[in-house]
Amino acid sequence: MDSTLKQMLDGFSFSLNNYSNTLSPDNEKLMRAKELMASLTEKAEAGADMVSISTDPDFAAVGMLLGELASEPPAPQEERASAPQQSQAGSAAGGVPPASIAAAGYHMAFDALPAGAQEKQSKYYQRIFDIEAASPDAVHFNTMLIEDGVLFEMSREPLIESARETLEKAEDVHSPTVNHQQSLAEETYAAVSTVAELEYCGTLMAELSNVEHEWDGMFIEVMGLLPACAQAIEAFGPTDENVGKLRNSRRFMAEIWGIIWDDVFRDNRYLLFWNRVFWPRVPMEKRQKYDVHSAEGWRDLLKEKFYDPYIMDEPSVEHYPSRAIVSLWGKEYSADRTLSLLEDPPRPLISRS
Amino acid sequence: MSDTFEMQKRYFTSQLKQFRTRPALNRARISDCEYYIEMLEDTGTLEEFMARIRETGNMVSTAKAESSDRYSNRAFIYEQLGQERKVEADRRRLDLIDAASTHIELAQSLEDFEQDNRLEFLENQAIMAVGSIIRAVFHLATDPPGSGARTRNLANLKAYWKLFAEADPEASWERLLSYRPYRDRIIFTDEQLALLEPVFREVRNNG
Repeated sequence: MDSTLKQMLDGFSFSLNNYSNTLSPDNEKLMRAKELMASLTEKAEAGADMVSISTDPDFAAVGMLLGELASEPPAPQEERASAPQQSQAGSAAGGVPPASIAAAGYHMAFDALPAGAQEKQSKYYQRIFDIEAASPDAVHFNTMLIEDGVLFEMSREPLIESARETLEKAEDVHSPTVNHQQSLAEETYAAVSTVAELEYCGTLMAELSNVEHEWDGMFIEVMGLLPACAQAIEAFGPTDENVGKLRNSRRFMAEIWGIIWDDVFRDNRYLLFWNRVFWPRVPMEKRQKYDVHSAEGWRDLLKEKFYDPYIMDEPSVEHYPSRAIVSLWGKEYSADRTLSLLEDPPRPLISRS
Repeated sequence: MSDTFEMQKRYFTSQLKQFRTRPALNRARISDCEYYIEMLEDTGTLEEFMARIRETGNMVSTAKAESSDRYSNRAFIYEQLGQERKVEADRRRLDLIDAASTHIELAQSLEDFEQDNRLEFLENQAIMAVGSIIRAVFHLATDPPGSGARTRNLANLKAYWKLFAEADPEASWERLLSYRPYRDRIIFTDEQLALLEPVFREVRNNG
């Protein structure tokens, strides 16, 4: 019989023997579980492999019954069965199972991993298997696993790695919110020491970052309204609709934010978007058509050809820097601080104590 | 066997040491470890300890403590962020955890709850609609009457308002501004929003 399969079946047998010590011998679930175990063991001894055993309906039924037996109230002492099969499960002295039984699940999990994942995870599993080899019984194994910290590392390190990878990819997105979130995640996950803390920090960071990411998207759309109107005229022509939208937007931006065209291109957050996200997406044929080869050149083209000519006869608007205010995390800031705010956001202090 | 008994003690004391690095996040696990350390001291032998473990539900208290810390920590976060429906969901889970007395009951009651639970889904649906609603109103403030852009933005507003109202029965302009998870996502100050409010009222009143 395959060694991992044997470990697994031994684990089931050991649990059943334990229940035999506390339950009545005529407990129906216990009897049924023993029948199913006998059948599975027989199949394994006849050559059935791990895959056929683990997909056998009896296997799932035993697992279910073992779960249910854990909830059965112990029978009075005089009604309990003895457990003559205990030695068959390979138990160590005093009813403590050997380490191999406690480790069986890890062998199964490792064997079930696809080849690529096995290679990536092998450093953790090898440590688990080394601990198993060094443990005289399941209690030693479980304690050494906790003290080694390998199980926690298995949860934490992929998160750190993922934050690092996302941060590398974020270079192409040029998003201050993604940069901040992933740097913080890498730093925070490296400092935590329990699973509960890992989950808590992960949830908190994700929630805060979701707000800032969405906030940033709205900021770019609002701040970029005037260039977007000029861009629409460039792309679709000076229709009444496009020109009307541009003129209304010019008045409204001055009213709501005190912003005029030049202010838009003084804003660091918008410039990051314009230079690194928008300009690289301007099609080559358009660059050639207008003989424009830089983000600044495209900005000037839009202003000179698709913005100024359509507002010449319009009443003037004034810019009022004092109106250019944004609300972030319940506080108000000058809009020109947006990029630095997103790089180091003034998040609410949330700390459980 | 005495070595194994000592090792069993170490199993709980090592965990306790780790949990105490952030006690506020591991409250239930800490008291659970203390419970088992006391049980080990009471029983004095591994055999008696294991018998007591079987009699007391095969460490269902540990499974409960782990879930309890998870949902109580989450509820704390959502409370701080004002996400009331998510807090409500976690409180219900905590009640179920508290009431469970066996492993199966614990797993089954949480699974049953998730079958019908839409609290987090609705919270997220409403939150996700907020940005699109405000953007549509912002654009409607400058769209020329009868323009294609206005038609598109009206349709957007209608669609996202429907999603918002489905998820939040208290849906209103005031609610957008007063419920913190919504307000936090809006870049405008109250004064600026006062300029957008008439636009919202006008288009909502006209269907």
